Amino acid sequence: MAEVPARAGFDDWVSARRPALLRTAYLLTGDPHDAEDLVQTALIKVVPRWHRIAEDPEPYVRTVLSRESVSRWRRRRWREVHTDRVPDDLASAQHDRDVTDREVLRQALGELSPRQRTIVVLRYFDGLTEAETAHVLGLGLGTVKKHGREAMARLRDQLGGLVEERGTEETGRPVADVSSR
Amino acid sequence: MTAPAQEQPRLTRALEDLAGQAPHGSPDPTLFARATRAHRARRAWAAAALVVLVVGLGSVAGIGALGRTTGSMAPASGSLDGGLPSVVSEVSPYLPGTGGKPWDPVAVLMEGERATGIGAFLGRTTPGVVAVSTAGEYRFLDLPDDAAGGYALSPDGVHVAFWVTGDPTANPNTGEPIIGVGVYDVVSAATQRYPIESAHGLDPRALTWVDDDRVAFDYGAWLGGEGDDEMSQSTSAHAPGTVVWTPATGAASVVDGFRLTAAGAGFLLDTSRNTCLDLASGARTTVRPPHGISGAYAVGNGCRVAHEWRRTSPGWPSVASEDRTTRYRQVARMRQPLAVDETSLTYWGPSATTFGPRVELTGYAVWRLDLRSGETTQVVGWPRATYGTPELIGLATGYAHAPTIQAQPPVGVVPLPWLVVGGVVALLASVAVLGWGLRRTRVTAPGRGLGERRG
Repeated sequence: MAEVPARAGFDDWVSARRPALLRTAYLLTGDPHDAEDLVQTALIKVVPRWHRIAEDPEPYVRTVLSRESVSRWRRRRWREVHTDRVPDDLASAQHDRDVTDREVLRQALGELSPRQRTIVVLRYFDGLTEAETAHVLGLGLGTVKKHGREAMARLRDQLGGLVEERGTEETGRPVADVSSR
Repeated sequence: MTAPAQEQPRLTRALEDLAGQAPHGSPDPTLFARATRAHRARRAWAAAALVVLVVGLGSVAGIGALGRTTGSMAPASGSLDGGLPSVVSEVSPYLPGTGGKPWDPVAVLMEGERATGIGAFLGRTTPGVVAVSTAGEYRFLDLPDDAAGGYALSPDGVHVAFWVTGDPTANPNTGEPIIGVGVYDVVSAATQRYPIESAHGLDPRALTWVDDDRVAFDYGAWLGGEGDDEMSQSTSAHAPGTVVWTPATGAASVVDGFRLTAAGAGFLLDTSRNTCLDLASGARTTVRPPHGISGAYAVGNGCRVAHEWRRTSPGWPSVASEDRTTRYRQVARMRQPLAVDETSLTYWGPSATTFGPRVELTGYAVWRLDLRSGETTQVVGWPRATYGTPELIGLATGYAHAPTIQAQPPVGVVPLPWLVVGGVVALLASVAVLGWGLRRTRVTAPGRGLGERRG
């Protein structure tokens, strides 16, 4: 009957870390309901392996969350229309002082491809290095760098001074502890 | 090296600010239990689909192997020319046919239900003729479309004689009127026909082989056809005599006034006139069967006639014979209590042995009777069949003294169409079950659909 302590540990960890997972998921999806769905789906997927990751579940859960974010987009893209053109409301929003900066950022993130968006979130919100991001997403380091450069270029075009002109070479450890977010 | 947050401090701050809009709902306390159930259900579905997939693939893969494998028999004594099988088996209705192509000589002909055409997929069968070759192979014998029954197998197993249907010169007596005799050469797949002109069709009476090359037949001609009075419709005029035909050469002769009862080894028997005719010399021998006997006859060995003798008690038949100098006398008596079929005596060999199928509790069999000792030996056996014992149609009696073939059940008699359909259906079902099961567990397990938004 190892399920009882495993369940207790799972529930405790979820209670403690769910808000952080929801924040990351919200940045990945741009929608609060999709964020909850994404977190719940990721947690369901890790339960069968919980007894193996219970010591340090964070990296595995983050990996599942990130990959599920990309794969969910693949499954749903048939019913979503992607466009490279900035919607009129966004263009006007950028000039509308009543619209907050966070809304502009949310929509700008939404204009990125799921993979680009995930890389940006993992790199600049969760504070992972490019190598760690590549490992989490199961991609090559070169792919992460390429998508990261493209993502930053697009964000720079849309967000202007919010994104600084800097390279995207390999960086060191993040300053902030992910678990504290 | 620079940390990402130090690389883009304003972007990082903006992301943190945006993340503050994330929902703050409380966790689902049943999440662990639901996830566990979903995981188990998914594994169960995957296992079930895997089983179905394996069965489906196995069926499809096995079909080819079974379909390519034909019945195989090994000669028991190294005979190169084949022989009679020691045992014949029930065959599947989906057994392949000869397809009108050259084949081996036939050792045994028997009845068998056959599934052909579209009806085969629905399990519908029609009466067919199963042939076991002298090499031990099983096939349905595909005879010409005008073959109408009365099949007779030549002693060497090469020819099958039958009555043929066609159009008489006037209104036919039946729906499929008989208009002659045909002989199918199994080895060459060629058919010879002996047409007999008649106004309303023929009334077939006797058709049998005199030897390997000559077939003898006797018939009547219907006096009326459809629409004529009942008397003429049900009456036939006997032919002037028995026809002896050699298909290979086309030569035919009529034995005037002879009514064919049995034939063999160059002799014809007419029990209505107590006459046995030697076709080689033309000599006629008077035979006098005892009164009250209506058994079958076999002719051979110098016009000796064997037939079923008196049954002194139920199940104790015997065989008698008569040559040109003696009356019928009992020459042997079966020691076993057998119930001999009345049409049992099929062969009268030179070594004073005869064959006769019998019905017993364990099935059907052809037996050899030693007329000197009375000992019986089983030659061809029929195991108990699922849907009734298939009746013997013909035996290649020319192989009577050759060693029998060590028989094996015919492999490859699986119902191919059904397995093909079943295998494909199983394959598709497994894929569908797998996909549906995985989708079902994925969608229903979290408690609400992934794409379902809360109102």
